[in-house]
Parts: sequence; C-alpha cells; structure tokens
Amino acid sequence: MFRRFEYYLREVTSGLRRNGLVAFAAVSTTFIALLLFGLALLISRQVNLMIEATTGNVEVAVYLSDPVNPQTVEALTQKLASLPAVANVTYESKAEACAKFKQEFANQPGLVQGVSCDPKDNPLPASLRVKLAHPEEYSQVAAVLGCRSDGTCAQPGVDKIYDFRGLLDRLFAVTRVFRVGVLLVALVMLIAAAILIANTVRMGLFARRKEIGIMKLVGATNWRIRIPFLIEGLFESLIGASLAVLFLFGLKVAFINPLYGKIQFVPWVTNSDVVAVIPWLVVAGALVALIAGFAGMRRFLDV
Amino acid sequence: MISLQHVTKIYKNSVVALDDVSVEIEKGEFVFIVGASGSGKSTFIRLLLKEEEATKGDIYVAGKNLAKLTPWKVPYLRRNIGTVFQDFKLLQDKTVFDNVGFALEVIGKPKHVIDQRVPEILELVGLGDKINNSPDELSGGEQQRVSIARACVNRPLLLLADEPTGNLDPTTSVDIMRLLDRVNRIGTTVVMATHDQAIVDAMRRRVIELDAGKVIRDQSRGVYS
Repeated sequence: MFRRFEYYLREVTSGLRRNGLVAFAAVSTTFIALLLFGLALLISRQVNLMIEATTGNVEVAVYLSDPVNPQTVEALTQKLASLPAVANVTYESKAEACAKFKQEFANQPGLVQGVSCDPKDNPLPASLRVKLAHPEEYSQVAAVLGCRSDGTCAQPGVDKIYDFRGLLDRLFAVTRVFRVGVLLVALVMLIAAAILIANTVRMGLFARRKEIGIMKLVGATNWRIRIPFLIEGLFESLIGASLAVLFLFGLKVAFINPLYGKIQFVPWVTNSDVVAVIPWLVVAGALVALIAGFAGMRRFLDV
Repeated sequence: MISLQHVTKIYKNSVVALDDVSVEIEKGEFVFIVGASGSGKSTFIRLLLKEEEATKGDIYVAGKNLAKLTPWKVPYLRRNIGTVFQDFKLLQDKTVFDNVGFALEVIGKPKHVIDQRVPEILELVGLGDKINNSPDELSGGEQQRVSIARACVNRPLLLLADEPTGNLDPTTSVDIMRLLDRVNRIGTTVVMATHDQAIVDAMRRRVIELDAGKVIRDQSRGVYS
C-alpha cells in the first residue's frame, strides 16, 4: 500500500515539474474562479444577514389602531394564523415597538429623544408580525382584513397593513443580479480552469506516451495509468482552492473587520461564514479537476 | 496455448490484413510467422495481445476467448504475455534495472520481488554487469536483451516477438536467437514474426507463412521459403 502511494506521489511530482508553466496557469485560473465563487457565496450570506436584521424575517406587519384591545389581538391572531399562506403570527406591543425603535436608532439621539416610551404618549403602534409560508399569497392576508391597496383596512381594530415584501423584492432583485453576475464570471473562470487542467493532463499523457504504451503492453491496468494524472489535476485545483480560501480570509479581514461596530445593527459575515464556504470551494475544485481529468484522457487510453 | 479459428481482420480503411486464418499453437512451441511486409504478420501479433479485435472468427489465448474478454481484463491477459519489438521500446531516462523493474512495478509487484527478480533475469540475459547503465550506453543487441529481460521478468506463458532482429546485424541476431531459444526451452511458448531468412533456416522450427493475409504454408521444422 505504502509502495503504491510512493509510486503515485513520484508520478505526480514529476508530472508537475515537467509542465510547470501550464500547471501554474491551471492553478491560477482555478484560484481566481474559486475566489469569485467564494465571493458570490459570501455576498449572498451577507445579504441574507442584512435582510434578517432589517425585517426580523417578518414579511407583513399589521398595525393595530389605539387603544389596543387584547380580545381583538387574540381574535385577529387566530384569524390570520388559520390562513394557509401564513406560517406564524407574533404580537408586538406598543412598549416592545418603542424599545426596539430606541435600540435601532440609538446612534441618532435626536430621533430617540423625540419619542417617549411612556404608555400615555407612546406614538408607536402595536402590531401583528406575520411570517408568510407562501409569500406570493400575500393577498389572502389583505383580503381577510379587508385592506385596500393603499394599506388602510376595513377590519375594526386594524389601522394599516404594511407589506415588507416590496422592500425585500427590491433588495433581492439587486442582490440577485449581483450574485448571478459574480457566479457567471466564476463559472466562466471554472470552465477556463477545467480546460487548462485538461490540457496539463493531455500534455502529460503526450509527453509520456511511450511509457504509457509500455505500461499497457506489460499489463498495467488503466486505473494504474490514469490515477497519477487525475491526482495531478486534483492537486492543481486544490492548491487553487487553498489560495482562494486564504484570499477570502484576507479580503474579509481587510474590508469587513473595519466595519464591525461602525454601522449599528448591521451584522457582518464572520470568520465562521468564511469557513462555511470552504467545503463548497473544495468540492467545486475537485469536481472541476476530475471532469477535466477524464475529458483530457478521453480516447487516450482505449485498449 | 493459441488457437485461431477462421480469423479475418479487416481494418477500417477496408484493408484485409488476415483472411480466414486458422492456426493452432501448442504450449512450449517455437513458431516463426514469415511473409513479406504487409502479409499480416504484425496484425497476427496484435490480435493475440488484443490490441486489435478480429472482424470474424475466434481467437483463444491461454484458454481465454479474446472476443469475450472485457476491456478491464485485458491487462491481466497481457501479464501472461511478454512482448519484444524491433525498436526495443526502452525508456531512455531509466537505467537498465529500472526499465526491467518498471514492468513489475506497474502491475503492483512489491519491491522485494523486483529487487530479487530483476538482477536474476538480467544475469540470465547476460547483462549482469550493466544493471545501472542507461539504455543509450548499450549496443543494439544489448538493448534488445534488456527488452527480452523485461518481457520475461514476470514469467509469461507466451512470448511474442515482432521482428526482434530487424535492427540488428547478423552476428548479434544469432545471439538474440540463442537467447529466445533458451527462453523457449524453459517452457515459454514463443511466436516470432520475422522476414530474416538466415535465422529461420538456421533454427529449423515450425514456420507459418502468410501471404496477403492467408496461411499459404504451415510446416514443422521448416525453412523460410
């Protein structure tokens, strides 16, 4: 077993030495491709973090008119929760709304001072926060409360309904375009990397065609011949992946770390988010290398 | 050991290389395949290695029907067959020892087997003192000995030689034939394609003559023509 390992190791290192320049090109293309892929993943993670923080996952807010009657709250909650489009409903009292407001705008003292959380003149409304199971069926919520398109509602006790989905849609639209763009570039780079890796494999096969011919004659199995070339491609792409991971950490430390705490209540991606993309990069790199390896060897090893 | 039954080989460009050939070769025989260039000698050898497949007919080598042999089993067939060629097919960047050891290494033989068998076989072919030389430091005859050593190091049942003396002068050719004869005497079946008349006449072994893909003569203790 150890001897076989030693054999493969020797074959791979001599292969890498032999076509160093092409191997370098393959490594750097894989690196850039995986870096972009990782960036796309981190950007969407960042966007999700921001969306969660700004909307608290609530998609529809039903603001209640003052004074709030506990029975009305109970009845409305049940009515909304029974709708198939609704995942859950939580109640946010005036006091809670006020506390949250003060927390969210703590860095803007002028705004906070103008608002009093005293129950007598708290201007913030109580609300029911509705999370939708099927966001596209928002109209069910509006219909059951008799709400019109301007957000005012016929249902007694309900003041206004606010649909956060509009905001979310816009956020999603922007990030989707951005993410798709980055992913497309990453994809193009991955294809380029695959072609380069396939090329290193093919050049290796060509440089050693005499050796391979002898191996076949003396009865070496195809796998025995293939594996060093596959490992060579895998090795190149994994070096690319490691560089991409290091670079992602570098980018995160350089650009995200200074933002920690600068903007209130906006969460930023953490080291563990970067760690979470590592398996994706490794899997993508390995897949590309294996596909490229087999493509490069196609027709070369027919018996 | 080898059985061809009504074997026809037509290449993709519709060249008929072998035409309804039936031949039986017993274990331990020494057989010359003779004929002009293009008569089908090399195709005969290539079919036995399953480098090519017969268009029609059945080929049995060491009890196996080659047409029914799945591709992944072909390497195991070849481990029982040694091959020697006109151009030696040695790797110039490896020593004599490593060229021969390579044949064992790539079929997964452990190092102690290689370290034992390679010097043994090199001694046998008369190159015991050139173990660490590079092939380009050797004469043509010595290089062919290395290639015979490589073909025999895994103790094959069958040795196929395609024009093994084609690049050698007559005296060296005789030495190589002596070596092949020795290999045959220890029980290895030898099939040798050649158009070296002097050798065939001197050896007086079975001769199968091909012409335009047909067997036109099959004679034990025969001569070239």
